[in-house]
Amino acid sequence: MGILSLIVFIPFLTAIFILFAKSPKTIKSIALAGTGLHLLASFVLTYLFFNSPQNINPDPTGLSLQFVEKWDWFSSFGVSYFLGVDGISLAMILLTSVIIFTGVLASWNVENRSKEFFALLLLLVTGVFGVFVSFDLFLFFIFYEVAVLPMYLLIGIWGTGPKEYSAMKLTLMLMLGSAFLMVAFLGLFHLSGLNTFDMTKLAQVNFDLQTQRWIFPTLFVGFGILGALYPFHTWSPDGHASAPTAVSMLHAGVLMKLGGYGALRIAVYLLPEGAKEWALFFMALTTINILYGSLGAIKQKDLKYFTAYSSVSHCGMVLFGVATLNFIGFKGAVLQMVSHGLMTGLFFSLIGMVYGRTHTRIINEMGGLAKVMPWLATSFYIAGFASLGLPSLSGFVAESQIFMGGFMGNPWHDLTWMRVLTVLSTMSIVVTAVYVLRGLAQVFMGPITNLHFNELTDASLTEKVTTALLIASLFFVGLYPKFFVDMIEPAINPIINRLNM
Amino acid sequence: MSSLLPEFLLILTAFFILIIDLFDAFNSESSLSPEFYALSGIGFSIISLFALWGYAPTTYFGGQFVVEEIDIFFKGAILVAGFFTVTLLPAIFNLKNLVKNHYPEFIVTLLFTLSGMLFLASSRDLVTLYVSLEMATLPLFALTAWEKSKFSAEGAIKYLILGAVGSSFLIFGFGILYAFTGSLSFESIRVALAQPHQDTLNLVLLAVAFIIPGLGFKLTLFPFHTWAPDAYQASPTPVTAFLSTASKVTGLVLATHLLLRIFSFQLKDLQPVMVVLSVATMTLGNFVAMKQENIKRFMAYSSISQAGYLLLGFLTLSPEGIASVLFYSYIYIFTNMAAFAVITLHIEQTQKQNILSLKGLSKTSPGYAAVLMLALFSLAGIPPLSGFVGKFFLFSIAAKQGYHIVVAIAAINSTVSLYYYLKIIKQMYINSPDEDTPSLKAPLVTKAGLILATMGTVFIGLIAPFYDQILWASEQWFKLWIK
Repeated sequence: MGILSLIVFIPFLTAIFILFAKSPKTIKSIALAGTGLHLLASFVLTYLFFNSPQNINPDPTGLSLQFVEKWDWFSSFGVSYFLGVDGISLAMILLTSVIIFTGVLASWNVENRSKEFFALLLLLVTGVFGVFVSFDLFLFFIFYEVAVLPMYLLIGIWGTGPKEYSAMKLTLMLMLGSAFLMVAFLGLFHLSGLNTFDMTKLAQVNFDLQTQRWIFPTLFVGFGILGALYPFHTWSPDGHASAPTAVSMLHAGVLMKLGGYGALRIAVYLLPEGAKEWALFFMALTTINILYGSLGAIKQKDLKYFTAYSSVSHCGMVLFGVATLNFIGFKGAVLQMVSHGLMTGLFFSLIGMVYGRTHTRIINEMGGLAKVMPWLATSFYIAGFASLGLPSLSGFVAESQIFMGGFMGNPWHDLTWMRVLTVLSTMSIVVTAVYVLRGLAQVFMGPITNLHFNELTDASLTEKVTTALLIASLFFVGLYPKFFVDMIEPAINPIINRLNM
Repeated sequence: MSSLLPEFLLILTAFFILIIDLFDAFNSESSLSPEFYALSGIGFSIISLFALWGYAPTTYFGGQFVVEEIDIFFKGAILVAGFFTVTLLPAIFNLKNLVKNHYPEFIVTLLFTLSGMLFLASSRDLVTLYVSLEMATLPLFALTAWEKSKFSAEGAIKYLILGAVGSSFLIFGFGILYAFTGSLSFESIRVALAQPHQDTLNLVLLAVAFIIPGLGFKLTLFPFHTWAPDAYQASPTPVTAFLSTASKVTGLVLATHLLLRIFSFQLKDLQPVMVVLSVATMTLGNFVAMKQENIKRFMAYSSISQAGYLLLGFLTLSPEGIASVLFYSYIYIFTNMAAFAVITLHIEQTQKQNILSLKGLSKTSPGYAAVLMLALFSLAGIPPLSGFVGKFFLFSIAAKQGYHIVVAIAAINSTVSLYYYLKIIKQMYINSPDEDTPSLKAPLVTKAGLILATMGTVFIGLIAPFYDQILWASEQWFKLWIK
């Protein structure tokens, strides 16, 4: 059992332990210990990753995977248990570890059926980690669905508002996405003629143009549904608004990233010719994503809907970066996944904390809260600044790279069109500034609008730890992007090489 | 004669139970209950069946009765389904009133059906096939009507009439085949059909045109499925479970005989027909299931749609095709039995068949709710549960033949099916129970069966060696038959 299996199954084992726990307090402690251990394990993994010989002398032709674990499973069907990690995966693992750890902290006050809650949450995270380290399409698919399905119960039982409707809509739309993926995976499997689901082997195959033409959009839309690609994003605002805090954090912070990750790692990498055919089309769709999301956010009255629409816009940027098909754009896309994950995590945890006090999420009903809860207000503003791309915070690094990538263009598409789309997308930064500053000013600035707010308290210790951890990570990515860039760049090279072939 | 031992043991057990019942011994305090004898009979039958492994293929009665490795797996599936069905029986039969319920006769009838199904798997000519098919289905009509209410009589009559219509379609097709080839054995018919004359081609077509609907009736394919919801609803719940598992596998055995052993040269031309039947069946099953309010009818439509998926495995003349059908059959049996165990307990103890009546089950009986949830997710094909792996392999057969659109339709159908499975899960997990709802209680045997079925639901699809064995068995068969 290698370190990657450990990374995947620590949350699962924690969930099993939780099933045997008795009191809510033990349940929470076990969950926190498990995720804390996991955070530690992913730090160790990062350390080992940077110091391994493969990282110092990477193999320029292949994916240069590390810590590979490979066992035959259904050998007649070309299925193997194949785990590995490269820079992109590692960045995602670090992000997810931070989010789940803070997510457990943020759900400290879940009392209703807490055993099932934490068990499902950890099951979901097992799926997420599995997706990021599996390099066999069959295994990938298994983990992918494990990551999606617990959401139904998590939202349906512990959610708020029209939770049953939102949970059903979210689950069915995401499952429709995975139906597309299944068709595409089976197509790749049979048309490759290799009888294997091994991604590294499939990446050696040059599928004919006809095949690439239909499989690429099938994959991109399949992943795009989870990445909130316009017009398949409609599950996201409803789902995020109804979900409990930790679930929103995980879903917007990590799960939507599976879409961008899959689009880059599988769709573009395995089918470069298809990507060249379709990239401009998807770039146009994601431009709509970016603008529609940010304009939609202006009109929202509920803090969660507000953040959810902003997520649609920011996740659009991830897919936009993938669709630029150039090195800087890809790098920006991965950085944006990390950055947006941390940022939305912070946003949703803060919304949970504020809602827990005011019992309302309607922006207009709040006002002047900065006076009674300065810590939360400051944190909220930092999250807001990150989302509007203020330099020194992570959002700036990621978004500037994405737009630079779009502006520089690629050899296969008309540069004018790409630049027009990029310029249109950059406008969202202005719109983001409008809604973030206006919304936050309404909630936190000015006089206190409701006398009852005077009795509210500022963040408790757990809440301070939660927010501080996320804010520190945001600053870390923003001020020392080299850490992630060094990690990501060698992993992007093989994808670019395959495009240039 | 050891190859006949599995069938023989079942019949022996049946007569043994009849004799005990004759002396009224089941009513005495010291006697073991009938399900004990049935379970041991089926258990020994399974053991003797797998003891044949290594001796296969064996041939009896001049090639009318053959046991190959692949038949061992088919028979194994049927026996497993029978075993689980018997474990459900103590939950519905009142032990103090055995004779009034005719419990021993019930078990005997079930055992006769099972032995008919086993004979069907081994039959290699048209007459044996037809006789064993009737031997398998006739007792089922009686089991369907067991409750002796007006309602169950109605369902049973529907089942009887449509089953007879299906059989007559089959026998007419068989007649044409016999007239055309002058032979009853599958192999000589198959060879004779290899190059039909131009002027006899129409005759072959006519035979196919009769045999496919006949198969459709047995396998609940659209538009021949109409008996299923009524029969499922009218039957005692364990019989519903039996109909949806063992009976379905029998249909698959029949399909294997007819499509692969007889029409193997025509399979390529039959592909479009099968694709249409499969797509229509899964789509209809799914969309009608959405509207159902009765649990049993709901499970009927759900199992109709599963038949549509299963038909995809017959699109190819290769070991992978039949192996994935068999693999999915096992998965489907374990999964469906886990679901039906909970449903049986629920219906028996609340006397309600409404889906709404499941509300809050996760609060009143968390364990049973979890089992039902796992089973439903497995039926919907959610990984890592077994149902997913089975479906993935089946869809792969269609993809291999280049039917990517069909795979897409099937995959989207799976999503649709998730909608109605989630509706049940919503009742159990999100809605609150009525105040005075008692928690479910299960007899020991039922509980053991339920645990076994749940283990199968979770794990059997992940056990690669099991699939490899089935694939190996199919390859052996193909080596022998299709050169």
